Amino acid sequence: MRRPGPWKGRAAAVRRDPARCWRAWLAGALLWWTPWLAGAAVPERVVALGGDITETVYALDAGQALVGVDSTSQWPAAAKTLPNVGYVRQLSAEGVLALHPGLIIATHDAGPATVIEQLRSAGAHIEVLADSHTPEGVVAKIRDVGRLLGREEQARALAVKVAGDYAALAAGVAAMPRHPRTLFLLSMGAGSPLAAGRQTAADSMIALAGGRNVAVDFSGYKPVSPEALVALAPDVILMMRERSEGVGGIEGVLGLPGVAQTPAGKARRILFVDGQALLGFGPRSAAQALALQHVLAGAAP
Amino acid sequence: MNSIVVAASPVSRRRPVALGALAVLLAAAALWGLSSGAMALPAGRVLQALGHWLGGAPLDADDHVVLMLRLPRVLMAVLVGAALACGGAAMQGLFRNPLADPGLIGVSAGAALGAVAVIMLGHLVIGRLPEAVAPYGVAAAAFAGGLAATLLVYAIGRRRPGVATLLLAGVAINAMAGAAVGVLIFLASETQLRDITFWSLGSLGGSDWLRLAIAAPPTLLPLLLLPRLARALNALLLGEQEASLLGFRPQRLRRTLIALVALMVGAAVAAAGMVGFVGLIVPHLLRMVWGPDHRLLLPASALGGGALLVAADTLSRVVAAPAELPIGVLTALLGGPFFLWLLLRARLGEGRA
Repeated sequence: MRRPGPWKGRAAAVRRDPARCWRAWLAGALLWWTPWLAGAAVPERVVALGGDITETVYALDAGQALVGVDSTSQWPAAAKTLPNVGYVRQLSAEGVLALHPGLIIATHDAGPATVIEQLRSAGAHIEVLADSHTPEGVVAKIRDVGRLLGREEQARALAVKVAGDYAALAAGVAAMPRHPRTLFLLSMGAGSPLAAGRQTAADSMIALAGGRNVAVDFSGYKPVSPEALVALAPDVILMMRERSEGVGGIEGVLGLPGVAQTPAGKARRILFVDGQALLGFGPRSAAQALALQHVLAGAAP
Repeated sequence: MNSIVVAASPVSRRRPVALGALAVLLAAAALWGLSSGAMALPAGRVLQALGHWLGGAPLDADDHVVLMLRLPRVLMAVLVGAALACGGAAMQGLFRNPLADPGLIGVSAGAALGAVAVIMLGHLVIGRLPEAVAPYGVAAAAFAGGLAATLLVYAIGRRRPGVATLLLAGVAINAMAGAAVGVLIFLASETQLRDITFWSLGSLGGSDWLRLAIAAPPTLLPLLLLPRLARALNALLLGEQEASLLGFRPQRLRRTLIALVALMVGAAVAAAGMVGFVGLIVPHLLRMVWGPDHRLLLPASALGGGALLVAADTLSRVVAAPAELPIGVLTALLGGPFFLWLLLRARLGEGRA
């Protein structure tokens, strides 16, 4: 079967300029055979939908095959220079097809479902990966992406490393004498800060890194008043490093109403974490969680 | 609030010209919509795709984009735009107020509540539904929510004569639905929050032939029936008593109008989410050009609304390609300043044509 994606531009050029017809056909025919001559190669024109997928593609050294990403793909910097097809849950079928993708790798919650269906029925090769918000899920995702990209070898090496980090993490957590009360705050303007409750990526990460999330009375991100902050009495406060300047660093956070009265505030245990890396469940999250665990283990008063 | 005055001159002469011009505008917008998008397909290629389709020839990848993605989407934009604008014209006539829009009888807020409820709680129900039905949950709930809220507004509003109670009941139900949406938003997770945000900004992105086929009957039926009420609406502009003296029955008219508008606008919101300003702007503009006679205004609003929404949707697909701008952003962004300009120019509320 003719692959629709990469060849279409060439076919259009042929139609427009009959004089170059022969040479173009010859070049096309040669290129067509290249994959068979070179053995299993990285598929051409890959579109990654989901920040964790994009990170994994780059980590497997296949970034050069990418022709498009979604708006949650913020790392590495190279990803931000690629055409952006919009928010991963609000995709447009034609926008993705316009990139002539040979392979689309999508995170489990890419959507809307109709658009995924439209992409399929347009003949695009789209692979939607399983939910991966667990260590096993992250490792499985690395292997899946590696298999799709023909990079099994690199994927195996990376999966072993990541699985090793997670194992070290689990061992470290098991050895912790107590698990510090931890609160993840999303930075704020003038209003109350948002705390990560149950069923958030931050909640999973805190548990994974050996902390104990103190905001367990609600799910999702909810505003907490200064009084509630004091009552929650966290030993450690985590915040996004991306926004540390916006809140004025540790001093700025300590100046927020209520923070100074918490154990974390008194001991200046305000930690800025790389939110994207830690909470994205990409290949970097294991190492990040391990680093967080070291800090938490040291922070336990 | 007799702010809309019936023009003295008959519109029968202007009607064919006006509707003809709007039909041409709609056709032009549709052609533009069909030949623009993230994929660069020249107009000739688009016509060729249409030819393949009509001729029953096998479709290639480009044909697929034109026929399976763009064509149903353009047609859906026509339906939704026509429904919103025509519904707006009917509501402005019923309330005898040029600032009325279909949202006034609660249909939009009710639809929003239905949609948000399913986005939030749908996983409890939808997961148990068959795979084929699940994607339509949000749209179905929006449609049902719109109808339910309208029914409530009507049931309260009919308890007293005149439209004032109806109007105030609409305001109250809107506020209550808004508050319920607020509670659900407070409980929402990050992902749900983003889904709600995008839904409330509107999109025609998921349009396919099946959705079009589902949305067509509840929008087309009122679009065809509403112009038959044009004379009664004209009489209503004089006041309810005057209308009944002229032999029309305002109570019955009100009931029919509300039912038809709820049906068409509910379906439009279910299909495209919240798309603001079309229902307000289009009839208003057309009334300024051709006067307030509903025999012309209702069909003209349908054509004009369709053209506007097709154009806005086309822009939304092109400006941020390969991503897509939410369509509600565009209609409000284009409609807002335009509306202000109208307001300042024509001293809105005096109903000068």
